[in-house]
Amino acid sequence: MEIDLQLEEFDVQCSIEGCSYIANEGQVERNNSIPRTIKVWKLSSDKVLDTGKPVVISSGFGRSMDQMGSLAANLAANGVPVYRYDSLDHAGMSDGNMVDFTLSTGLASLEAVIDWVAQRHGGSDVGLVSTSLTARIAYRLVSTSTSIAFLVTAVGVVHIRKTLLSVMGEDYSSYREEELPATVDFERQPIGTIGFYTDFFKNNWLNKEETIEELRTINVPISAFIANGDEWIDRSEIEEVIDPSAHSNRTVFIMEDCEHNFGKNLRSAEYFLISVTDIVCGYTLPDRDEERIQVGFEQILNQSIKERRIQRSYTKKSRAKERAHRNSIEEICES
Amino acid sequence: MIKETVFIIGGQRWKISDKKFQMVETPSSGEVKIPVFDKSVADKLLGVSKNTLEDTPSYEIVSFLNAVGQRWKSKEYSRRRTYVKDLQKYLGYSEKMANAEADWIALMLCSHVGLQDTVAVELGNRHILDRWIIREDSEVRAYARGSVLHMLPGNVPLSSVVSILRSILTKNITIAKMSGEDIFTPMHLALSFRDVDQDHPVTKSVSIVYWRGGLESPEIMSVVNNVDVVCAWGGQEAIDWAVKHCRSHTEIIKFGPRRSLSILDKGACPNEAANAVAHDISVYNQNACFSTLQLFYVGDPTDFIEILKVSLDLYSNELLPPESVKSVDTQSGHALAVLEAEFKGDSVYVADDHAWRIIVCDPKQVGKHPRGRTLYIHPVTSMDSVCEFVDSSVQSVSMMPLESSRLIRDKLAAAGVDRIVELGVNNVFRIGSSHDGVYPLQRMVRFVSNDLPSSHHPKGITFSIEQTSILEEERFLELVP
Amino acid sequence: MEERKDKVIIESEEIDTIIFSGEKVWRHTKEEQEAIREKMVREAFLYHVDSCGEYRDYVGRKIDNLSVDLSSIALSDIPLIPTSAYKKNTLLSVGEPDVAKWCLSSGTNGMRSRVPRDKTSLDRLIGSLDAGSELINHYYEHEVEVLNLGPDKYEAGDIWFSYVMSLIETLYPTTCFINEGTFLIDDALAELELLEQESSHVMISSPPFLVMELIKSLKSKGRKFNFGHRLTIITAGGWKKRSGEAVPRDTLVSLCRDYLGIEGDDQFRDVFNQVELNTVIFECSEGNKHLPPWVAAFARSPVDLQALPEGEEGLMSFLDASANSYPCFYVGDDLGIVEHKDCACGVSSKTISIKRRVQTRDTRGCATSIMTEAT
Ligand SMILES: [Zn+2]
Repeated sequence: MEIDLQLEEFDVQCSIEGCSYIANEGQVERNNSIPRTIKVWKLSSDKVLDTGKPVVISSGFGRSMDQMGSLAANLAANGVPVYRYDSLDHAGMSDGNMVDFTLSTGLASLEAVIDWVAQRHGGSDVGLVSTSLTARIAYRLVSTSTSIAFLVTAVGVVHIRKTLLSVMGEDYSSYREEELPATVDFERQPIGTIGFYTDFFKNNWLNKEETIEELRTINVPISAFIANGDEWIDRSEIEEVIDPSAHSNRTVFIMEDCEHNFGKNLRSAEYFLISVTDIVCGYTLPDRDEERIQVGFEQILNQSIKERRIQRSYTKKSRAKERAHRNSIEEICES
Repeated sequence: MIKETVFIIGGQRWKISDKKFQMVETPSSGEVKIPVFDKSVADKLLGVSKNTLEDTPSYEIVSFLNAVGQRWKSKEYSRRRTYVKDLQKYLGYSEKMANAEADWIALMLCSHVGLQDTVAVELGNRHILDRWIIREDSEVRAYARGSVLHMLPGNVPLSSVVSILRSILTKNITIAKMSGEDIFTPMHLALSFRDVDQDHPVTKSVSIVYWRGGLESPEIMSVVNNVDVVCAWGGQEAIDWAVKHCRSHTEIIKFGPRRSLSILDKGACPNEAANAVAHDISVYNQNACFSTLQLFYVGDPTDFIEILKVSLDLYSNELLPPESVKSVDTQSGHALAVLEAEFKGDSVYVADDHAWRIIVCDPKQVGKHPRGRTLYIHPVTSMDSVCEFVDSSVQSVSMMPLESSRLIRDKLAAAGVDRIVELGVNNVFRIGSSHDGVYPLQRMVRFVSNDLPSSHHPKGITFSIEQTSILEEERFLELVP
Repeated sequence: MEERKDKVIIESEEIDTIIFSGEKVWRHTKEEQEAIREKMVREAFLYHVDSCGEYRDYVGRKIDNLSVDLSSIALSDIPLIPTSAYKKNTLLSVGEPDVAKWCLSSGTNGMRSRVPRDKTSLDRLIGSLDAGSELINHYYEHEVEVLNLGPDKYEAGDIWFSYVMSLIETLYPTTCFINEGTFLIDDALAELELLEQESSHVMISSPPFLVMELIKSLKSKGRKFNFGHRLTIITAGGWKKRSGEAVPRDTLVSLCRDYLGIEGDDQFRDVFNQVELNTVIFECSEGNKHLPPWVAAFARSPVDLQALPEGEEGLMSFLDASANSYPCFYVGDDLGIVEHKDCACGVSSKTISIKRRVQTRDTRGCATSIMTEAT
């Protein structure tokens, strides 16, 4: 059965200092000084009611927002309005480049989007699904925000220093600032180090203890998905931080035979999808008595290609701009 | 060493020169070198006069062919021996099948009466190519159209001989483009003409060449654009090629893809019928257009199949043994056909040495036919139900008992069948038998008529047709019977 | 809601763990591969005998009414399905509503095969693409630009080969150059002009005849590219209807050297798949097509279809454990060789090499096929 999915695009303005935001749905009034633009996608279907409680999905580090397309499609098909966004200074269509990314920029972006979504939907009760490094950001936001109703994390990082060591093979947080290389590679993409590590210390992203502390203040339900073969995150640390036995509203889901990139195993990803759909629908549509709707393979594929093409045409445009820019510089130099 | 063969152009040998040759892969996986069809070949071909046989009387042509045939009749004739060896080595024929082919060539060439009768049946009079024959109110003479290009088949050597004899008999010059699957029969035939008389007009009228099917080089086009008749044998692609490339006024005689089947009605002697069926699927290993592919059996064939198995063994072991080395393609086709039948749950019978196989199934469920002595038997309750499975792609229906054909031949003809023949003789085309619905000699000649003078009263008219006076006297209506 | 639990275990099927393990697919020892193959293919066989009525009936006829213990027969003795049987749409091991896609063969002659695939089978197929592409190189999404000279997913419709090739768009940034059946050759050339200036790795994914079209066009324009190591050409699907224009692989590779500026033969890779097979088989840098451990392949004698010893040429048969919605145990009409190779690329596994398609059809003389089956 083909489900009618609608994708809408919004610009949300966010200024990093103080995390103020200007929601903007139509024409963008651009304040060129501080506020920057976050691209937000809303996916919905005719099953989605005006009163439906929204969910925000934030993708993992280095991934653009089309990544979680099949989860978004399944939630929308079941009646949940789903918002995705690309963080500032990150992969995707929002302002800035990855080389400038810091965790606090990630936090500001997420907060701006959550607040904007909450406002659109009349207050609190926004669900949040967060993956990998953004899960760490999510824990911090959830510990202070009043807009978030529940949190789902997948392969969520709890101990950044350790994870970065596994990823990079080097603990750059032990370097003095002047020793740091200008950039380091993540999946062969350059990430600026100075800003990242400065923010790292200044805003205390470093240690597991801080995560535990933040988790202590979280009262909303948490479902944490763990890949048992995660090469970047120690499974026992997640269990320790989440501590489900001590919290009646926290559950840990262990995906067997999965690596950090658990989506690679499409069959496990399918079980993840079903579980998350059930969890999210349980919170947002508690009165629902219909069976779970599952969007078919072909439709997911079509939707995913459609979203990738939007991202791609954006990338192509910005590349063309860069090229034009380069050429004009060359021309100037030649003359 | 790789065998080298020649072209024949206007009766002369044309050898490989300047080390330029084409390599032809033969059906039994051998390779043969043959000259390249280049501009010099095309020019030489176009230089052969279309009038080469103009002044040769038909009786002389037939006598010459007979002289050639007498040589082929002898098993000691060295060319025949080379031919038989070539069929075995390069076409994979068993010795018996190769000798049978040579025997047939001898029979064909020697039957001068048969050739003359064929002219008589197809063109109306056996002298018509030599003199004016009065036909009602006209004198008529048949003239050659000029040159006939034969695009020959490879599945049945004898078809090449038949095709070439047709253009010779009609006094056309012959350009035979061989099939890659049989580059021997036409060549040896033309060389045997030379063996008898290098300077005979018939010898000089014949050219034998080869190019790979589907090619469209300027040299090929120059020849195709100059011929007057094309005899196109082969698959749909070959026919389409001829239609696409010939000039609009070139006569194209199409012997396209056809299939044949058999009906065994009640009343036939089972032993006789079994031998007949075995023969009809063994000749040319079932690769001819007249080869029976399916047998519609009226009644329950279980007992008959047991008898048929014996007959098939007789043919494959003694009378017409199949090729000694079957190609991987042929073998695969057979194995896959058997597997398909097994998958469907059909009854399957396979010879111990895989020489033949019988599959009993619903006629609706036959897909690709792998040939090579594979018989699909379809039990039916009456002959009439066969008509449902017959269309214009069917050439021959062989039947037993033949009396049954009188009951059904009108229906078969209406459905598109061109030939009805007794089981066991599907390869014998009798004098008067049509070929794919036509008399081909008619298409290779122009009938030129010389009408009787006006003074000669037309039949049924009582006065001469002097038109000025008819108009003046307004007597035209009197001409109307 | 159900009773709350602290911990929930989400299990993965063993075969999925293997298929979706990326480059680890190629790291099993010879013995491990054989053990996986034995287990996975046999389990799949027993599952399909159980789940597909038509296959069960056939196996019953072939193996003496199932009196034999099916769990002990050799993989090479598993009853094979002729590819023609996939034309009847009845080989199904799941309920029809679970079929996510009926996949059509691309042939033009006669009836086409229609193979039912459920989500599980399609997911695993993509898994095989992912694992296979590791034989080319490990690229991150942002490092690659794909030019798909074939149709995109929407244009490909149900035609299997184009569909499979179009799936690459879900893995890498891709531009397609077929619009309403027309090859937009000038657009493709323009894109190459741009990419020649960039730094990303370029992959051209295409049926071989379109690579040839591209080169012909470059020839006529007198344009040559110089991509060096930055280009990989992935061909698939053979020449099919264009077999008359077929150019030998070596010739095509040397043309790609001349006109696209590739430097090594390993920048030209062919992949093998057919509509009945649920795994895409890739070539390594040495030009060997490595078989992943969930697929068994045997070359068969053309006389009686018995499995031949390794290294001998015969009719290729495949037993693919990754197909869930239909039994994927078949013999087709390709001639090839199966043999184990300790390959210089670093992978040690069974390999297949496809020689040619057998001509079982009536292609000769004045022949015609009997009739198409009643639809
Ligand atoms: Zn290799």
